[in-house]
Amino acid sequence: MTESEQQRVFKSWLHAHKGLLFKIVRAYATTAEDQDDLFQEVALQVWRSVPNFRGESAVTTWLYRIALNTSLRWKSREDKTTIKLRELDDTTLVFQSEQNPNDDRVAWLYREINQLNEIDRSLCLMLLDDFSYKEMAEILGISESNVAVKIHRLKKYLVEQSKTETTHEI
Amino acid sequence: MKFEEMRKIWNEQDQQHEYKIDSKQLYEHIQHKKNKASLFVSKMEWILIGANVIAGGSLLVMNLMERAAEKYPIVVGLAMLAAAIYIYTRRLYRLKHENRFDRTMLGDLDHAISNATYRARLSYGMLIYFVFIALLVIGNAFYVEKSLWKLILIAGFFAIALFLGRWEYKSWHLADKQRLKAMREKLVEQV
Repeated sequence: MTESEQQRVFKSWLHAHKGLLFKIVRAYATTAEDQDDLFQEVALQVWRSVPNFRGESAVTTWLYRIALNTSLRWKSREDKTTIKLRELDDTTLVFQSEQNPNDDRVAWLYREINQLNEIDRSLCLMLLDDFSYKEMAEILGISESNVAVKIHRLKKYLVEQSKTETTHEI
Repeated sequence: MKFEEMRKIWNEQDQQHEYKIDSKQLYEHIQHKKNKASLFVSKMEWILIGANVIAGGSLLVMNLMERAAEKYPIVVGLAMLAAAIYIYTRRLYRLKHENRFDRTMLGDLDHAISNATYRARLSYGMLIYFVFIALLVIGNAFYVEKSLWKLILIAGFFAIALFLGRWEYKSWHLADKQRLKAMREKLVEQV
């Protein structure tokens, strides 16, 4: 595959799935600078993955796997490094999202997702994005029954949390 | 709130958000990061191989050319060449086994653990090797220099270097491996 072909596929994937990628990025990084940094890292891994894509899975599944894995590794690195050194030329943001400031419910969901451990966070994102248990198992590399056990616990936790929040009127 | 409601709220985001990407800048960042990032392990291997071959080879050539060759520099030179060969064979093994992992998150984590283990082993191996070289150099200095303060200075230098090497091994390579393993355990645990 030539670099221009790789670039063309990369651009089309990014254009079609930027919303999906950003939802994952937002679940793992909270500040605008961190989100931008993580988005760049995800974009780099997606760009690298283009020649390896054989069409055996849907593009969304492929991108989800890359974005989740990159976010997990990024998060683990970020937790280790408390002081973050951004490169001097990284002053302008590559990626920006304009969100409705009044949507407290979405903000609440992200807050809850942010409190989960990295693995549960991945599962929660896939669950909210309507992935089947089979697809989740394929992306994560664990059995469907293990996925089911984790999802059951996760749903129960989120519903419980929403009850607490409802009393405080989200 | 029921879970289905949460999903509805989640899906509504796509209509409410507007995403803007500065494609030109993103591509420039990708090129920059691509060139900088991934070749770390490979660079580490080539630097170690190169340094050992040059230093070890020089020691051997210089000493073998002299009539009364000294045994310590020859042993050090041979050890350095042996280390270069060992690192090269480990590199070949690593490259051969690069693509055996599943294209899943578990597979990616296993791959990352394998790389971290490799880095940790290389780093630990270099520490042992360093102790060996340090003992030979100090031993040689003991016979040649016969000066206590010079011996203390050389030993002190090696002790500091060893301490820094151990710190790098523990707080970077080993910590990285342990963090990845903990993540893997979280992924496969049944409860």
